[in-house]
Amino acid sequence: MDELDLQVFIDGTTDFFAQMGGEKADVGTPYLVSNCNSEIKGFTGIIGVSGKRRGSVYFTAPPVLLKVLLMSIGEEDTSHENLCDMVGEVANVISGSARKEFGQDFLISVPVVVVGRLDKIVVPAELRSFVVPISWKSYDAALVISLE
Amino acid sequence: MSTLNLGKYRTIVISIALFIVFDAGVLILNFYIANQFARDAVQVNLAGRQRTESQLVIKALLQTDNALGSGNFIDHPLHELKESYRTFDETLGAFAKGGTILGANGEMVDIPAITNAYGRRVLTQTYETWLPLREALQPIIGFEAQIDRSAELIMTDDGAELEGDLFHAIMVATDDNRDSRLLDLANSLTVHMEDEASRRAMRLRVIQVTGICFALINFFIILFHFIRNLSNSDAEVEKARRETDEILETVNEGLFLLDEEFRIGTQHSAALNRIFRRESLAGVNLIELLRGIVPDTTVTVARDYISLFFGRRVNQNLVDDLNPLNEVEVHFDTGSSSYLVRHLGFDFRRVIVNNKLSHLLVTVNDITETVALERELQESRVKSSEQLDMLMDILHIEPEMLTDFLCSAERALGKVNSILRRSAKGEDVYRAKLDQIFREVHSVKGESSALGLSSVEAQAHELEDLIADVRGRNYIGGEDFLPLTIKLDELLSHVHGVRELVGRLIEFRTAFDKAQLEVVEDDRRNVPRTGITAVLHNLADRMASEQGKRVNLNCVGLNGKDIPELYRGPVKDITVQFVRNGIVHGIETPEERLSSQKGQVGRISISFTPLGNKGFELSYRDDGRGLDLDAIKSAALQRGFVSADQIGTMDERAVMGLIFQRGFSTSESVSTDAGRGVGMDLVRNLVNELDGKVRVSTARGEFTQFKITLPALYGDVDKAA
Repeated sequence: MDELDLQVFIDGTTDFFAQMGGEKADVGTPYLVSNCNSEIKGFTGIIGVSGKRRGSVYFTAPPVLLKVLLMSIGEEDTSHENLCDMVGEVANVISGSARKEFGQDFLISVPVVVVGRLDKIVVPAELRSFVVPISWKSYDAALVISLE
Repeated sequence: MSTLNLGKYRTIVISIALFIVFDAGVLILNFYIANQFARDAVQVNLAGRQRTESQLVIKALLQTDNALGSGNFIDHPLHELKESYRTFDETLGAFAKGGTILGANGEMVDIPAITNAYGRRVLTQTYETWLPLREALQPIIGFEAQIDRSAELIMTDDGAELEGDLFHAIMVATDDNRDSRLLDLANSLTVHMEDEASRRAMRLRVIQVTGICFALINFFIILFHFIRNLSNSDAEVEKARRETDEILETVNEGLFLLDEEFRIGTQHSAALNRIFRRESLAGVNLIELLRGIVPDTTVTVARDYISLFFGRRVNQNLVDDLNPLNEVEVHFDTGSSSYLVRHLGFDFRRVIVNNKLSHLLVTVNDITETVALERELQESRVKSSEQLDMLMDILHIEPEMLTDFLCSAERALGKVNSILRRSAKGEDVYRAKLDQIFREVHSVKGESSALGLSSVEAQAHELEDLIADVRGRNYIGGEDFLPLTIKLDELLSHVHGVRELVGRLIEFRTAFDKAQLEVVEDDRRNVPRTGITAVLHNLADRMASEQGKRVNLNCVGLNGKDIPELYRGPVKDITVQFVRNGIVHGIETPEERLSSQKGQVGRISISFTPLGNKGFELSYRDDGRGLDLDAIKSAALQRGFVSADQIGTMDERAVMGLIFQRGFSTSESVSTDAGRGVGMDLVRNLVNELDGKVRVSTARGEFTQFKITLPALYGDVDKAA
């Protein structure tokens, strides 16, 4: 796994919080997991990656983080749909950032939002995923990068 | 000169021409018949008028005579006589010779002479009958009297002469029933002419019907010919279409024509839909189609390459050789944020029609399986090569020892991941994490070094380098751990690779041992070194060789079963560090030893001794140069572990304690064997974790000794004792 490739996704996530959240997000120490589902925190925005590297990248966050995020941008409606939209938006920004950085050699899918477990998402079984803990305003989220 | 090439349409053109000729003929005939009917009607009408005029002449003659005799005016009857005479005579002349006469409707009409025998005979008889009367009437017709009263006229000579002439004419007219005969002859002529007209009409009708019949027959011939030809042609077209459809339905390749605008033609093979996983491909732009399933760079390459074919001078073979699309990786979005990856091979052929480039015939094949096989083969080759290197690396190591190491390494690396996973944050926490990770990695490195597993040792060393790099930074954030995690992933993969290989080796060896069992049973004089003893011997041999030293290692009580299970791992880690440090720092080179009045071969003794309910003692002793307390002090000062003031107040024991500080080393540089200052730190941590104690004793130039006491274990005390 290339450090620069991973860094693109991490930067995409922190940039989102820097621009939208009004407060910088902290990145924890990245670690490895063999089962991504254990890292799911409620709402998950997923983008598929293919081309030079293949796999998926997830941003997963608890509802409370998304609610505070919504309120921080002046949105008082914290309905289920809006929480989905918000986590999807994070994934969208990560996707945009990835496209910008290495769009020429990659295909980045439109984000998909999943609530709960990721039963239907195909993750290469033999792969370990990189989990990058993201904390923002005392709430914990995670960026999970699962690429060949 | 060019000729009209009608080809297969020749027959139909001729048939249509004939049809037009027949139709035109019938039309002309119609005109002719219509004219003939009009002329016959005029003649019949004129013939009928002759009947009337013959009687009118007689009647006017008698009326004139009567008027003259009774003294009445003769102008009117005489005028009628003259008119009837002239009409009858002119009409008769026209029937005989042809000419233009006044018709019944007051217009001049042309009538032809009657030429048939019967008509001529009737005309001759009419002339013969008419001429005596005509002569007798001549003086009367020529009479031009101005006196309109007959009484007065009769009194004149002219009147008398007229009366005579009238009398003579009446005599001639009534002579031999001339008047009746004239009527009969005129009637015969009329009837004859009516019959002639009827006969001609019948003949013309027959001709007309025949012409129409021919035209109709020709029409039906055209019709049947057309229908048959069309039917045959349709059948051929249908057959060709069906065959084409069958080919396009059956063929496994995606086949289609591509125009200069990159549009896919209206017909393509069914396989194309399967290959591109979409319906309705006809008319779709191939470049746009690719845009969604390949990276932008490939789209650009595809457009440029296909455009080459539409250039004027293209060498097909050359362009084929350049084909960048003969193996294209395509990615289909499955809609659930994952991609289905396939490989397609494109082939392009120019289609030339009338010396002009019409289209490109494009063939697409799904070559996923082939590519997968090729890649599998390639990966297999690389893996084989890697495994061969790995094999060379592990071949000299006992599989059991290797298995123990792998378990231990995986446990240590798993612990590293757990440390990374702990969610605590902050600079101090991160630094503590680095220290903990370092110890684990160093332990893996030490063990791999002891086994002589250089590939793992090298990777562990690289990870240590990365940790050292992060440690040296002024500020440490979570992101700084990213390269460590990546290296950890690589190290885990490598360890798994070794485990896989060892598994296969063990399988192989089991089979081999079984086959060689009988031979081996007779040769058991040398009991092989096993467990920690073997590890330490390997390490000592390898390091002594690398350091240019000679060492004799003596181990007591270090075989697997001698040590309680709980202590085996730590004892191995501790003794590895002692041996490494002992050979690097303690044991002198043979030359130094000789000059110090020692034997060339350095001695290291390690023992693990159960002390009953007092626990266990792990003892290490080498007869090397001993601890150089001054060097320790100097290094501690230099590295900032203690201040100059503190050094002055420290006793020997306190100085010796410095070597257990994290990061302490007397080495000037870092190598895989020494220099990071983590070995003794690891020892101290392990002993602390086990609630043990370490005692150090040394004599300059003579020996270094470590004695570690470990507490007794319930359940293991009796067994160990």
